[in-house]
Amino acid sequence: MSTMESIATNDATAAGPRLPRRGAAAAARAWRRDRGLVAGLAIIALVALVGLLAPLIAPHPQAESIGASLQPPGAGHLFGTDDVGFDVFSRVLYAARVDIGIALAATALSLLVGVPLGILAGYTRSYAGELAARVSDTFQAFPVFIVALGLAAAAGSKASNLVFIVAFLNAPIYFRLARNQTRVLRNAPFVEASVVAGERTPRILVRHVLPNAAGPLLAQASVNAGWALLLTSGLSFVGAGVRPPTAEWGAMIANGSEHLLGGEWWPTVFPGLAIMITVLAFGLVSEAISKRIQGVRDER
Amino acid sequence: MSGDDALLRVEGLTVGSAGGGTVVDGLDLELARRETLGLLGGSGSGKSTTMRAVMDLLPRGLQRRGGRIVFDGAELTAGGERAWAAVRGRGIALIPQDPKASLVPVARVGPQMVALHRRHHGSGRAAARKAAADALARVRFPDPDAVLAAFPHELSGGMAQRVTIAMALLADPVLLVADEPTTGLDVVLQFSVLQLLQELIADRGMSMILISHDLGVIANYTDRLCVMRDGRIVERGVTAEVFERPAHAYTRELIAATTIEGIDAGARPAAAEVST
Amino acid sequence: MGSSPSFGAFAVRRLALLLPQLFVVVTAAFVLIRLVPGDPAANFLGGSATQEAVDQLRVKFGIDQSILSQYGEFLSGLAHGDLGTSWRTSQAVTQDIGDRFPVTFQLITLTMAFSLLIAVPGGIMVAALGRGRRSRAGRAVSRGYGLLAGAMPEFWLGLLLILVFFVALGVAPGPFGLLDSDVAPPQSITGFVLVDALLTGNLSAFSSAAAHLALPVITLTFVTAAPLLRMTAGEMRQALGSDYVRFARAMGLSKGRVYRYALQSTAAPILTLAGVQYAVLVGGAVLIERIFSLGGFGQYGVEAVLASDYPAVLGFVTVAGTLAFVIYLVLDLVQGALDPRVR
Repeated sequence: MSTMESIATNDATAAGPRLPRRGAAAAARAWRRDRGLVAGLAIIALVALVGLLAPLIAPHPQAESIGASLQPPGAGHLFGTDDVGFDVFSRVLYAARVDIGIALAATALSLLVGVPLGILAGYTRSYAGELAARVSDTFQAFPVFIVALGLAAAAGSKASNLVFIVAFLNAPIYFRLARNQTRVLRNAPFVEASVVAGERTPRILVRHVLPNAAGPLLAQASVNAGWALLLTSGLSFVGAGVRPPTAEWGAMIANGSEHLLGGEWWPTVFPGLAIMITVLAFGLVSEAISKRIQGVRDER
Repeated sequence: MSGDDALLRVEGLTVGSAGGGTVVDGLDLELARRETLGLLGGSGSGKSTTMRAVMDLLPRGLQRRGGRIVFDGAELTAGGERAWAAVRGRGIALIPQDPKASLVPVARVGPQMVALHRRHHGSGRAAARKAAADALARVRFPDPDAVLAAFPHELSGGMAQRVTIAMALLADPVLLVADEPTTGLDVVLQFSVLQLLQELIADRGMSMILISHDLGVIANYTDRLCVMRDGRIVERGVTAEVFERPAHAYTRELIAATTIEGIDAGARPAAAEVST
Repeated sequence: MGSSPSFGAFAVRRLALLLPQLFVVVTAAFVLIRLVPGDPAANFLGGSATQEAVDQLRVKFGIDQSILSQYGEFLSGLAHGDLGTSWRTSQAVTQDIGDRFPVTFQLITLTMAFSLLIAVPGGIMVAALGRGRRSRAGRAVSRGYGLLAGAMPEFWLGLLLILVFFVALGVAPGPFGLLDSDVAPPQSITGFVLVDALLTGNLSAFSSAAAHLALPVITLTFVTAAPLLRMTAGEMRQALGSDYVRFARAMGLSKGRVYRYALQSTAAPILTLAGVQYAVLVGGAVLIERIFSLGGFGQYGVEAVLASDYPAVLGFVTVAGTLAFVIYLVLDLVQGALDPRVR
């Protein structure tokens, strides 16, 4: 289980307003400097695309038995077939839509909810914000997987439920991070100057606070998207997440594991590889963003 | 000056950065025994880097590319790590620029000083502790035991600086390198620290290299000086003479920018050259 | 001269808040379980149960009472060390947990021990590579390992290891529990099989248990050691480039002493991370326990949730939360002992 979400960077990048980017030259520099970022984003985009286009590119339907079960990888079945006779390769492709869809949707949702609330709480220094932060700190002590499991078991096995559950579990992280960033930035000279100059609050928040807080938030979001995927697949693995016949990588692993001892490795290995590559991509993106923030900070 | 008497001789020292730039360029330097030499220059002049090279403590990203360093008769550059290890502490001691940051944050002052003394004198713990307390008393701490028990972050800047001076005493060196010893201290403290240093080196017959960008410090506490700029020495000589009759234009600029007459006359230091 | 509070004063301050904080934690556990939508009794009996059966069950298990009185019962039960009775096993929840916790404890403690053994020296080595090509290679390896270990689903890794070492190579025992079926468990003294086996000189039980724990521990260690190694390497690298290391070296202190100073300064953040990971492992080793049929604490929690065994779930979450809280408290105290700036 990843603990990375609780070890997020909490420093503010405050030193001034953001510089605008400059087109193609910047893009070339970006590739040289941030190979990880580009590679990571490319993989994520690829996986998302695969998921979207699965009905078009998959050689077989995801839930139609084509015949022999537990066929090893070979002609016609790149990844072999599972115990019911489904083509593993096609199911891996179809599962992309569920897995990366949930990860991205849940992350987007928790960002949309957690960040504005966090910024508001940090800027207005409200007691409600402090209380909310303390409360969420307390709940951090509980085993996340079990809590998620409980919620998922009670709510039922639908992808949309999983999105809400994962978003719900993640939102406090962004709330806390955004709040901390905002609190620090609030005291930064350039923000104070804006306040004194009479700029209105929403404008300050959007023009000064948000761009400077965006870096750590995005880095955290990327890591958490990967974590959301691991959580989803873990829940499905125990049967509380997405259920067959819908293709989902974790559920596929669970299904495959029943035949592992017989030596039929392919229904287990390939879905796991898919998870690993996708989460790795999120990790690369997050690292690249963090490194960029550090680099910017050092230059200043 | 007769060459064989020189305590420290640096010939053709060149230090470059990993990116290809040169930080110190073919520098020559000589220091006699019982002499205080000043290294004067702005930030980026290479004065700190020069001394780091002399102790072979260049940071990541900088490398000595050439040159010869001879200390107390021993050629350090030819002797490898052993030669330098023999010299650090016992031969050359450092008074660092940021004393609070130079002490180990999670250990008390006492154990740090004891470790240093035991390292250089092979003493037992009790003897080392006594020596440490004595050194602290020597640098005018009224309550050495309290200081020994303190953590570095509990000390003020001036106190921490005196602790590092006491540590230098424990090491009992021949050469003291004071790297901007007055940074961050108020004027009164600066004076007392410099007085203390002067007293101690006279007491023990030490030489000192005083690195500073502050003309007042250099003018009043050094015998000879070298003015540095962009990795080179642009002027050198007896301190009093250089200040009276600066030969190089840069030296003249520096002096003009900080003397009362110079400021009255509207002189301003060239922007990036001098820092105060 | 300001002085940091002594460790004693710091400890007293932290411990004074212990009881009220514990109270908050158990209340949070109760609230958390109640947050879950749906009627526990109905869930437990399943979709085909009649309303009558559900109502009967509610009375039997006392959940027809008001929330407040349930809360009251919960608290009073806690005060007596009673977490209620499991709906599935009909045993006391404390008994259920007590039976299963030792396995989990051995699993996660061994994991943490090995993780530290790998991560700390490894991190120091990476940091000590200094400058140049070797250093960059070392850091790249450390970074790659970190990314990989963080991206792998640990349950998948466990299955892979079973595939390779049991199915293919036959060197590890199968995922069938803690002991081979033909090995008798050792006499129970501490409750921890490994310890008991050693104490009673029961070598066959010890080796059997150790063999069965090997793959689970390796799986979890692989994942846990990665962030620790990266953090150690990063912190040590920073420490080795710091002013105090430079000064210590300038004054002629030995390399060993310098490294010791650097390690001392980085001990606090490293141990903090280790502590957090340990707390997370308590509930996080769940899937590994399930795969290897170890019958542990986490596995119990999963089964309880899937069966809607309300008291068991409540008991599990309470214990897990309290444990994590205690671990964090110990962490705070250790940090305070090591780093005076924290006090």
